[in-house]
Amino acid sequence: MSDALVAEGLTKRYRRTFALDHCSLAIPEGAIVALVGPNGAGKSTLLHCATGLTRPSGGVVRVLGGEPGDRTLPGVGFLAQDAPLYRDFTADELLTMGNGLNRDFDVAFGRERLPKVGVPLDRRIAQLSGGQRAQVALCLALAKRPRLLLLDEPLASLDPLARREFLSTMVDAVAETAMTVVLSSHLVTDLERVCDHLLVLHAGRVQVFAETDQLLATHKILIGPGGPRRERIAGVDDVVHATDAQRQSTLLVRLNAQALEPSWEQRAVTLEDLVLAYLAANVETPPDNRT
Amino acid sequence: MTWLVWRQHRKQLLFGVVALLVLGVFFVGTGGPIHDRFERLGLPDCLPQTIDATVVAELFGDAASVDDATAAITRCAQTARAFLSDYQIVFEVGGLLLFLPMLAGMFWGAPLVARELEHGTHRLVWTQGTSRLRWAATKIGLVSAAVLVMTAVFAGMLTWWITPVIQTSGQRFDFGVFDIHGIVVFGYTIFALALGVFAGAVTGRLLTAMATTAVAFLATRLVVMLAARPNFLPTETVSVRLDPARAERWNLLHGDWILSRQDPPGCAKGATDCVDTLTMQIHPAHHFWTFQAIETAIFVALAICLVLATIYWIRRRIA
Repeated sequence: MSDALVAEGLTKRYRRTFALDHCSLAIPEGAIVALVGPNGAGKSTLLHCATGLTRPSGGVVRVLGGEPGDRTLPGVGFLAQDAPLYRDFTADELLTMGNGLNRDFDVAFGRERLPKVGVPLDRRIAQLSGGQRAQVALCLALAKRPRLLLLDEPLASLDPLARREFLSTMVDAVAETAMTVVLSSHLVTDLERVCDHLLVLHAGRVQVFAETDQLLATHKILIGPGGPRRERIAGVDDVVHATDAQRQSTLLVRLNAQALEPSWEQRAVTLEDLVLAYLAANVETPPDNRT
Repeated sequence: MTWLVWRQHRKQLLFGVVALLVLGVFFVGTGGPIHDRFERLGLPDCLPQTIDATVVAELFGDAASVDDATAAITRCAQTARAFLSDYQIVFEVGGLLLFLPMLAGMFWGAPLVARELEHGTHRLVWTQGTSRLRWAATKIGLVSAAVLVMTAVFAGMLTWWITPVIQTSGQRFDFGVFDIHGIVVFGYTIFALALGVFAGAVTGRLLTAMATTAVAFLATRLVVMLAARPNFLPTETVSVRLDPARAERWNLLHGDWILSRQDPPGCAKGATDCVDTLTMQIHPAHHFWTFQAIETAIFVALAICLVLATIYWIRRRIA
């Protein structure tokens, strides 16, 4: 079992600011990763490094076992932010283009799929809606039959219905293959249903990278008495985020294997709770994950 | 890849072909009468024997004819001068055509990469299964080929159109004449194109790239024309014994590029009985094609450097 995308100490510097700051992670083949973080967290930079569009300033990035570049291109499908397409081309012409630029391009897939999701093949891209454009861009990336699919904020400009249609096209295609997917968004709620891994980036650093099931199982929200806490709570490994009020504290905690202190009321977490807690935790006590 | 280049540039190609057709109609429409008149005046026959129309007129005025032997020659020179002054417009139109290569750079070259960067579509096309090297090479190669074919048609028409006037004046080395016919037009066009592509790739903005192309093209052309061209080959020194009675000796100078001339002190303008020696620094007329080749080589070399720099930039730099 190899990894589809590996980063070791990956760093990208623009003059004085770090877009990526010593990121290390390994995305296993077949994973569907939700890449989440606020604007400027380094999501696009990470994806650009993986496609070879951007050269890292330091560290290593490998996709499908090789350095991103001409040789990895055929295996990587990429949908850039804002779904750039030639606006004076029709969807059909874009598929013809894809066919000319890729060795094993599945034109038939695109010609079949696009009309089904309500995209006319013979209309110019400029005349299509945002949702239709996103579908065209996704079909182009999928028709390449990639082993690794990288989608940069594909949902950002879509309405809820278009989001659902977009994700269902993606899920259908992924289900048929063992494709690895990395899908970035600044909202995790969109991705909750389709992802099995969560990757949270903040200020260019990896804040969380784990399987979602495991994250949901090992994190809880605890509600209990307010005031200062001096002792560790039994069964709690770490308090990720705490909202302390006079009378009541709400904690998002990571559990360990021990039994949980019964005086605290516990609730299940959602992925959104987790993302927000880890992002907020970063603001308060930035963990140093540089080596 | 070829299909993509065709699909992206077919509109520009259409504009180019239409522009060529319009120019073709203009050249044929106005060139026909020029050629007719040129023939009718007998200039093709008498010009080879005549004296240099402009030099003689400057030094001697119209009183240059002294005997019957030179009378015919002088008549031919007068006819030539009349012909030239009638078709002065040719040089003015030719002056406008000096800028055509620059337009190729601005409207064909600059958008090639700049428009992709401006619209973000480089992220689409550079993440397909084709390397950037191949993308750049195919795109630049095919567009250059199309532009060169169009330049050949244009240069051919222009050369035919302007030949009678150039033959009459003999001044093929003049600024603005040397530059609009012969093979240099290819050098300028391919240079302008490469400059546009490079500026577009580096700036990533179409308008900036177009402006940069225009300024850099004109600057390079002026520097080469004014500073480099006179020194392509060493000048030759020519001494001519001035004798108005044997004016055909001036034939030697017909079409030469006279860089400097020490006028004989003893001869007043309009004098008919003066014999003196005139010394000139010249590039002889038969060096014309050598000069054309050198100038073309300079611009082709610059274009090659720019294309290589563009490909390097596309592969390494642009995110």
